[in-house]
Order: sequence, then C-alpha cells, then structure tokens
Amino acid sequence: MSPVDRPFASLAVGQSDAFTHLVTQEDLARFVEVSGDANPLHTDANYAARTDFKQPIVHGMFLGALVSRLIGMYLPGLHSVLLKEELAFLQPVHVGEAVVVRGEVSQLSQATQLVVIAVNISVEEQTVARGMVHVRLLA
Amino acid sequence: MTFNQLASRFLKLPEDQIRDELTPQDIPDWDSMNYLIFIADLEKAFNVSFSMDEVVNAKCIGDLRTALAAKGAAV
Repeated sequence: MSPVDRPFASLAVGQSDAFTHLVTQEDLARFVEVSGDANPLHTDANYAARTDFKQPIVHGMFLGALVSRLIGMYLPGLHSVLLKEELAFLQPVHVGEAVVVRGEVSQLSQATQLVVIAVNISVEEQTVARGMVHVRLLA
Repeated sequence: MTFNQLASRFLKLPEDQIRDELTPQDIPDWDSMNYLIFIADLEKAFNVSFSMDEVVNAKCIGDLRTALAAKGAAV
C-alpha cells in the first residue's frame, strides 16, 4: 500500500479519514520485541488476572503506533512528519478487538504548513483513546 | 490561553520570566519544531494567521507579540 498524497492546499478543517485494524497476538508479541516493554500486564494472563484489568491489555503506545499509520498513510499521508502526539488512554484494548483509528483535521496553519488533527480510537463505537497530533507537511 | 501562558509553555519558563527580548540564543528549548507548534498555537488562540515572512523573520518573542497586536489581537 502506498501513502495517500494530500497536499496542504487540498486539506480542509473537518476533513477526516479512518481505518480499522484487528489487533492480533502477533501484533502484541512484535510490539514487545520492538519496544522492549514486556511488562506482564501485556504478556502474562495469570498476572493480568490479578489486576483490575483481569486480562492482558494492549500497550497504549501500540495504539500510538497506529496513529503513526493514520498520519503517514491516510491523513495527510505522503509528505507528513509527525511533530507532536498527545493521547489519553481511556479504556483497555485486548487482542482480538478491532480498533477504528480516525483522524479529523481541526486546524491548518498556512505559514508553518502545520496540520493539527484530532484523533479518536474506538472499539465497537466506544472511544478507547483520543488525542491530538501536530503534523508538518514537507514541501 | 494568553500570549504569556503559551510562551511559557513553549519556552518552558515561568510566566513571570517571559520577556519580549528573549531569543533562541537565550532558550535551549527554542528549537525549530517547537517554534512551529508555538506559532500554530498562537494562531488558534488568537484566531489569526501569520504570514511566512512573519514566522521566518521573528527574531524574538516581542516580534511575535508585535505581529499579533498588528492583527488586532489583545496581547
């Protein structure tokens, strides 16, 4: 898949895009390997069962990585550089759940070529994380 | 947020230390990417748009305050 090419001039406040990703056990294992975060809350069902979460949860920053995909591949896509990402993790996400990652342009700064995008991540229409990203479009 | 509140967040300085004379040479956190985010935050807070010249030619905090004031913003 190639990134969508949306030049700055083609963007408008309110414009949005989204994709769905089914979280797999392989995703979680690969994220543990790449990040080095093997905390048992993510990897050990027995440990997780003794916590408030009752079962292993997906790393919050795995969702952050999906936001990177949103920006780099969908909105704005090609020419994007992610400058700032703020995310609040509101609900746990588990392996086997399909997350919908949605972005909506909330601000455009012509002078700086910055795009501010509101991000909402949901599972079965319930928001599990939300936040804001600042993206610069390269000339 | 006020101009000084936004500048305080951008420069990671207490509000009472925000002075118009501050330049990138004074502030280690005044890097180019942070500066762009600061500009976008000012545009949103004061509902204005800067020109590319204003962004590039601002040499100190006071230059941005002056540019905002020229656009009618209460800074």
